[in-house]
Amino acid sequence: MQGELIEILLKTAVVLGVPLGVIPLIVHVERRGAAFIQKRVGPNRVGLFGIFQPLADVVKFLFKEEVVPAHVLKPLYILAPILTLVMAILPFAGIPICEPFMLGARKVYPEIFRSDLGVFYVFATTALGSYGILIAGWASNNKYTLLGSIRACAQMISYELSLSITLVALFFLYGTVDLHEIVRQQNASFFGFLPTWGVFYQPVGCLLFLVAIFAESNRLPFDLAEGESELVAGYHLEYSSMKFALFFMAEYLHMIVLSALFVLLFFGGYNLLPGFGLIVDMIPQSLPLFQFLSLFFKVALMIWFFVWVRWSIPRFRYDQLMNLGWKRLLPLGIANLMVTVLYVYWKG
Amino acid sequence: MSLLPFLVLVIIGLTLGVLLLSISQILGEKQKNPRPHDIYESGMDPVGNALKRYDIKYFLTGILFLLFDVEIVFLFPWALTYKDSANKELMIAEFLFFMAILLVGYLYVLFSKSLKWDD
Amino acid sequence: MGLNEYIDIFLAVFTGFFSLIVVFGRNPVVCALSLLMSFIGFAGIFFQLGSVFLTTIQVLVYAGAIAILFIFVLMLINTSHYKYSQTKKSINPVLGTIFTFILLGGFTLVINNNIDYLNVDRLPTTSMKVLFVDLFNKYLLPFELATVLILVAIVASVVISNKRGEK
Repeated sequence: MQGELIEILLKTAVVLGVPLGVIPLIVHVERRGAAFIQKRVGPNRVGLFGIFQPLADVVKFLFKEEVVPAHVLKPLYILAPILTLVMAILPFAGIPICEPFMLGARKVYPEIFRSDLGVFYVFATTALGSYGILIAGWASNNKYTLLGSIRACAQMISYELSLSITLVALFFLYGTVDLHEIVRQQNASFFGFLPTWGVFYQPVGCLLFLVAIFAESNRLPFDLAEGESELVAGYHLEYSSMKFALFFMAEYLHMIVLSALFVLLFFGGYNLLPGFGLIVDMIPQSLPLFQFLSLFFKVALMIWFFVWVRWSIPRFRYDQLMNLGWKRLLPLGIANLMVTVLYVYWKG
Repeated sequence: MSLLPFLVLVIIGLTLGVLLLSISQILGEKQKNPRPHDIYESGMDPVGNALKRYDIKYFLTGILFLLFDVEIVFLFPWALTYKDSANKELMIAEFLFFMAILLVGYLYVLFSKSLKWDD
Repeated sequence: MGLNEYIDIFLAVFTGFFSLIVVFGRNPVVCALSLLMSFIGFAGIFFQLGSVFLTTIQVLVYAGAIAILFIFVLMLINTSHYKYSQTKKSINPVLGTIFTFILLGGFTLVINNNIDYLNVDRLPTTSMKVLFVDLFNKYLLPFELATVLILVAIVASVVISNKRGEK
């Protein structure tokens, strides 16, 4: 049991520690990226290129007064951000960062929780993400936060359907739920140069998944739950200082997990980027490291894409949002599934 | 296989959250004469005793999500066992039948005009 | 007692504790949250019995959809100004408890007499493929009938919500 615990802690340190540590960097990229898109400068005073700005923000959050308004339900109010954080951390247990490799005589699986369920587990735990929002909105004892949280939750569950139907089509195509196997199947190439990524097999599914993860993480153009002009600040209205920061962290973690899943399923996951193959040929033991770096790079690109979209297009109205989820994406997902099934049956 | 990974993750999450909140509580300055904070922006009239017309949409969304989620959960094992199945025609026939019923339900919901979100 | 037994006991106490809160709690949202916690406890129990698939399905469907539905409904009916404590003393809780124990005793007797059939110390861990190969051969009819059942539920929920909405 001791060895198992140490192994889990080591894996957690990498699989969870890197995202947690990278969150301040993402916050900074978001602010500089927003500034760049809006033709202004963004924070550049604190440290070189403003790189210590997020640190200053964290210090500010720590020293701010912890206000617990008198009218809230205190236990639930304090529980909500912690619950959201825990629910955001759980999916990381199923995300692998590289191929299973041999350490001495043992085969090491680089995911915190190894089961024959893979993606299924990650998907099931991201479904739990809506609870923190619900409890936060309720505990604030405020009509606006309540409505905001119900709407945010309704939005999240509506897009979960499109997500799961796309996953069914993917599982059907790959024939497995195991992420390692799925990434391995994306290692071949068409015509010698185009990699057999999921996006080429399931373009419609990829698009659906993309829209769904934007809606799942409550990011623009789907961030009506926090829309400033609509419901003031939505479900985290009554939260200030560190509790708000915890919600923020949970949202970014959610974004990272969904990006990682997207990259693993559709863009080759931790398969090596073109240049890395040469280095690994020289030093075979460094394969896990370079696979992790490839994954990291792809996820970073995906997160930049999140930021890019956020500052480029306007927000959807709530009824447009729900219409999109139920009346456009869901039939598209069903059609995608049927086409995939019939195609695979036809071919073999 | 054990529950140890989950335990570790949950403990890490709880510890992180509680730690950050406690540090903030200790370091944050406190007002000398704290005023009780009022609810932001509105009075405290309750939403209402019964589900009003615009509220029932959320409930319907929740129920329909549940039902379609269960349907999709039925599809997962089907998708996984297709490749190794003996009689692929049978699997496809089952799938088409399943999809037909699902589509009937979905089209009913669509055409009954109950999923209208414009208030 | 090994670690597994400790975990089993912890999960049983965890689930039972939160189930009691669901029944006896006063704030409805706290009850719904405890329901969620007891679902998660069940998921842990399934895991301990060896079926990871059931654990995930439990989390996905029960904790991830049904409990959300409960909380939705509770929030839409704002009951914060209701009083929950019953001022009238009644015999019902006592009768209910006695009957529950009689029922539990009956279950224990039945299980103890038929313990050979159960034989579930730990279920064998099987992959999803092995688990479901029968679902689409022998048990095809129940599978399709379940779909029809869901269709009935969809139609019913739409009809009921239309009627409620018009009121």
